[in-house]
Amino acid sequence: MAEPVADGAALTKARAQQRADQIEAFSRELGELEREGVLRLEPGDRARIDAYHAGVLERLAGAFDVDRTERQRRMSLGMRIASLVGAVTLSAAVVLFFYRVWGVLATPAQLAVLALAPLLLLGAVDVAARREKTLYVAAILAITATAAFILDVSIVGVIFNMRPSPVAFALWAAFALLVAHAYGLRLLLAGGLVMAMVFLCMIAGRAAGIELGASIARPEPLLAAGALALAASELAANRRRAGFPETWRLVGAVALLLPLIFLSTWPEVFSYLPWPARVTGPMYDVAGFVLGVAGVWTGIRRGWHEVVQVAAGFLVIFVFAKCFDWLWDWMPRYLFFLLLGGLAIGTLVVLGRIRSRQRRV
Amino acid sequence: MRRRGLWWAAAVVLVSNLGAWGAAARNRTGEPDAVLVLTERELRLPEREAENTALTLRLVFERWRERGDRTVTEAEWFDRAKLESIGFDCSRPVSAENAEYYRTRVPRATFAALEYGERASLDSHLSPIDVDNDPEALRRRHPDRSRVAVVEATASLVFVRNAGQPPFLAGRVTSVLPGEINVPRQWRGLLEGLRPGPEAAGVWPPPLREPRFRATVAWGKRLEPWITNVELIQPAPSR
Repeated sequence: MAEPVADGAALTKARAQQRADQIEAFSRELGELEREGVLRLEPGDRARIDAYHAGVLERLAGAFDVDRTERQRRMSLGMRIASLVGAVTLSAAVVLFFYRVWGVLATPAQLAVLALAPLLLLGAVDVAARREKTLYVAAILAITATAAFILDVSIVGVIFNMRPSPVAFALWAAFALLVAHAYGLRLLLAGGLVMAMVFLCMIAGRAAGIELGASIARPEPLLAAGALALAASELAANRRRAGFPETWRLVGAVALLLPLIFLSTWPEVFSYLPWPARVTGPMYDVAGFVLGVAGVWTGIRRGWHEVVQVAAGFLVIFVFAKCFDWLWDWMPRYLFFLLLGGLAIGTLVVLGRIRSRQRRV
Repeated sequence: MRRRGLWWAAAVVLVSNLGAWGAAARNRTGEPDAVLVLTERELRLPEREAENTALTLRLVFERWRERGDRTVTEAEWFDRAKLESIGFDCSRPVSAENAEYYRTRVPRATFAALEYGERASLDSHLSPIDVDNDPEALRRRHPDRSRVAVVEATASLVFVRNAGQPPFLAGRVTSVLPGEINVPRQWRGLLEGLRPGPEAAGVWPPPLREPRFRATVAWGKRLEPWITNVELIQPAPSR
């Protein structure tokens, strides 16, 4: 299906909504200017502008179902929340229904039901996407299809008493990412990325010979995965879809920064590196501060708001964790909390300055 | 574009299912790696659940923590050398200063030999007797396929303080994979009536009792088990 074109540029839903918001703001401001007597358009000019905008809004609403008023925007938020709740509850219903009935089915019937459920739900996603531009129902069905596929792989493993394998996470990630890319679904994209990262941790754990469950508690592979996700946000395939670069960057920044809190505080427990904690601890301390600051700086420079927020949040937690790690044992408690209070005020001042700078930019 | 993504996602579903079915078929073709006749002592029934109509039996083997009747004073077969052979780094001196280091070692994935031994106890007669990262080496050392099953397992390192004596390191097999075995529909009716009610949920270890059924379990080429027969054990007549 060709992308609807307005004003000579290919539009995404986000850009269409941006344009609709811009028209609404322009119209309100023009009204204010006329009321204040700053500007008075000829009646014919005003009518032409209104007619042109009405036409544009009509086209955008037809193609993307954009919100034209504040009331519609609030309704859309409600629909997004309802769609998330629907996805979770429908997925739970599919899983619990299967658990309720699988005992009465023979093994071939169990296998057939398990394999067919995600395929049928995929078909339903396609039908819903064709009928509804907002994709709310398609998103619910896509998440339910992913849950059905997770159930499929898990239960086939139970039926045949198979040994657990990291490959299951690779399959779930591939499924979620393919469906997310096909329909531009950000929540499913984030879920697929998380599953792909769990797969990487498990592969590293298996190579190191540790138990699969424990491999999640060795988060070093996430550092590489996070950096890769940040780089991948710039790929053309992601830039074409509304909200995809932001989702890749959000997941990437969390994966890159969050493990550093654990790695710097308890390197002997969480790190694969064979060096003593007196080497790995300071190494990850430096990495935490450098990457945190680099995240805020890069985020501001490139206009990646989600990266700024994650990196700033990380720096606050990291500084507090390090204070506890370094000072709790030898400092009187009142002085420790006084220091933390001072740090909180310092953080507010720094974040306030960053905010003003962002505003100026 | 959308359609293409959809077809790829459907292909992932089909390939996953075909791959799993193929792996299961490969596991069960030819001579099994081991065939053991186990009883309710080794295969515990779960309590009844209204929301789950399937039945899986929990494979139970003898473990330290279930033998609360004695203090551990020696590593037995799973000693420091065996721990090192499966990849645990035990190079630091075994002393109180290194206790924290040894306590924070992550469990390792390995293979264990589970031996079925006849004895009078009502506890599980299945106990781990050896571990190795190479299942074939384990099988060569324990060739009796009717008494020893080679299974994937998780092993942990334990630092034993050993009051009044020098501390020592010991390993223990903490779980085997898979830890539960699915009961096919043809035998479920036989076992359904024996399942404890929901009041037994969370009670561990379950009360000891004379076994009421025996099941033949085969482990295949991929060391994955399946049940080949289940039969009830008639209670001995009371005198």
